[in-house]
Amino acid sequence: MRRKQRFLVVWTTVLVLFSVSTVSTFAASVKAPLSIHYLTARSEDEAVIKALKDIAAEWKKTNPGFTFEVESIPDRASYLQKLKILAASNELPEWFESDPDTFFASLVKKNMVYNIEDLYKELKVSDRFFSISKEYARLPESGNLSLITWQCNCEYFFYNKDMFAKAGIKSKPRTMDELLAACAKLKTAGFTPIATVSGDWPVLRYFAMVPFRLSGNDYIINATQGKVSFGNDVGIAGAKFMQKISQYFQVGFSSADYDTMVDLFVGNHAAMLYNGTWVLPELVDKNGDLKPNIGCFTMPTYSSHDATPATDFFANSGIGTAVRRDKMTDQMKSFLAFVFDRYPDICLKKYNTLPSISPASIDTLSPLYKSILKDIKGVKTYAKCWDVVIDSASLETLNKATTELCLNRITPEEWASRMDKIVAENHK
Amino acid sequence: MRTRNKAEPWLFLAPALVVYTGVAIVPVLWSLGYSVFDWNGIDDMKFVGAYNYLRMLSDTTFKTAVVNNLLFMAGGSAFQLLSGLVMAIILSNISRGSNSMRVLYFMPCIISSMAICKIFEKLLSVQPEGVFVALLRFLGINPIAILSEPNWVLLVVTLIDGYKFCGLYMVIFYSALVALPIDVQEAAYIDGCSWGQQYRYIKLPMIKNVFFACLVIVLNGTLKGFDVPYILTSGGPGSASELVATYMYKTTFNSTQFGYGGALAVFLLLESLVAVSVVRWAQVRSAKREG
Repeated sequence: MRRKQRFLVVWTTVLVLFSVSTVSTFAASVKAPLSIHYLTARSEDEAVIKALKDIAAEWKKTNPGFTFEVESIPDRASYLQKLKILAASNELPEWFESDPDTFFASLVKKNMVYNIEDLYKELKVSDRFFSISKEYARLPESGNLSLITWQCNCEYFFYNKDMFAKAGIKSKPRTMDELLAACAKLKTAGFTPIATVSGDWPVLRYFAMVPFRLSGNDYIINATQGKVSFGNDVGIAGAKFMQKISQYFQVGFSSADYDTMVDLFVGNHAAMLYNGTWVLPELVDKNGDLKPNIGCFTMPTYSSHDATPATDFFANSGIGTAVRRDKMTDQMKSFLAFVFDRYPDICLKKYNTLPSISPASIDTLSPLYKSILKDIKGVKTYAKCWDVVIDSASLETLNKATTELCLNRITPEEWASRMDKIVAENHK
Repeated sequence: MRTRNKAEPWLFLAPALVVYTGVAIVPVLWSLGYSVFDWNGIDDMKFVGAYNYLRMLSDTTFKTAVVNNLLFMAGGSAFQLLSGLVMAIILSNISRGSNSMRVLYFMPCIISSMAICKIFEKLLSVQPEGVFVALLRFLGINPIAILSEPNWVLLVVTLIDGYKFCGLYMVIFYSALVALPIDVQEAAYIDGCSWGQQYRYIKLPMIKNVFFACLVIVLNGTLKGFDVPYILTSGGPGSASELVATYMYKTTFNSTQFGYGGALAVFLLLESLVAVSVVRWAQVRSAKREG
């Protein structure tokens, strides 16, 4: 009898506890207002974040209890480390940022993020996004679109007109040879031709230019998958170009950081800066045009038999935002619909940044921004960023080997051999 | 003293043991566990046995890191112990201003590594021009971007790391020197010992055990050196200032190779154990010779 009583007490307790927890969970899920923790690699004073915060504040007026908390880690290496640790411990926040790289592809494969293309169709906003804003964010292998993009960027060589004039450079370089000749003239005139930084994406862009001109994206996609050698004709041509142009980088480029690179150009200590349109707030005047002593030109061509025309270059939409699959509730979708509606005008009119969604009207844009939009629309093949295409395990070797190549410590063949070895190792 | 209950000593030790087990033993065993798997943090873990350890043998970056680490250890230990000892000797011989000097010598220890690295980064920068470069130019010497010079960067990182930590050894040596019995020193003085002879034959031998303890700490610290090389150069340019700890960190958290990173962590642990064992062996041998 005693045993039976104990049995009944235990099972009654279990049933009661189970019911209480189920009811409270259900009650919590029904009643809880939307709460978004947004882990971002952008600085809090970037236009995108400010615009999203403004929209969140507006949404909160009609949805009390809504919270939109932004956690900003502007140092990209630190941001990626935190993101990877959170992913490994299954603690990703509701919104987080990523490029469409191999790490993000593994999150998509594990079904951890919501398919954004489905979201766009559901909310009927697909056509409002600029083409680049969707295509850049697609995973290269599967074509899956699981990142919301907020910007419409393209990359230029920004140059100091005064330094160019003093060095006797009469026109913007249109070919790689003209670019090298211009750098030589600037160096002879006592100027630092190019401000850049290694160990990060800026130097990799220079490396990517010649292979993109010779083969489009085929070289980098195939080489990073181990299908072709890094040391084929295209790769060696790129590596040789890298050795030539690196002698025009500022002294100490391998230990500089991104801010130093930009400051050197903005402070008139370097003649050229290769960067994207996200840097425009530092280069434009109050009318939204480039400052009088600053000009820009697109990526030069390489040879008469280039695979890509001069109108194709690096254009992207910046780091994208993913939404955790299990957090895409109806409330979240309503908020996102509101964001997509309000974002383009706030981003453009209030913060002078080209949004990923077409604004209601582009008539009020400055001539510079109209010209940028025209350049972006002219791109047929978007150049892939090497630091996004290559897997994270091989990226460290790519950065190290490229720096050593630029410092002439290794030959192009040695560079290629190291890259082939690490890609083979990481694709076993 | 006999305890009534044999479990009593263990009960007193238990809290410390629990903390030590949780903070030191468990992570070591966890790393050991990861080291026999191939895992990127997202996909399923794949058992690979000793593959990660064998991979170290053909990894050129790892070999470079080990050599760099040994040089960093040798140079850093010598610099930190020697400079700490010299500062301690100076402090123990001055009365006026010794408090202020002590604070000045110890200050680098309490300033964060990030602050120290950023200060030196700006000091040594060529473009924009730092103080050090401006000084070189003033002296008519052509400045070099020393943090971008593969042949010099390891030395610079070693010295900056040593600068940060030498104050710690200054404090330890100073405490040991001022605690020496005064009668022995007075007797030596009466017997005609000079200042240098006092240090060579009396004071330094008397603090030998403290020296060995500091040697263990500095060897461990330099073998696991991370913050200064990582913040200042991130192991670059190329692998010129890469150490095992920085390589392990980047392999684990940048390249998301938790298995191989675990194997590197185990290697670091074994390396530290070997270094400490060698010091202990030397200490015991020295004690036997005296005994």
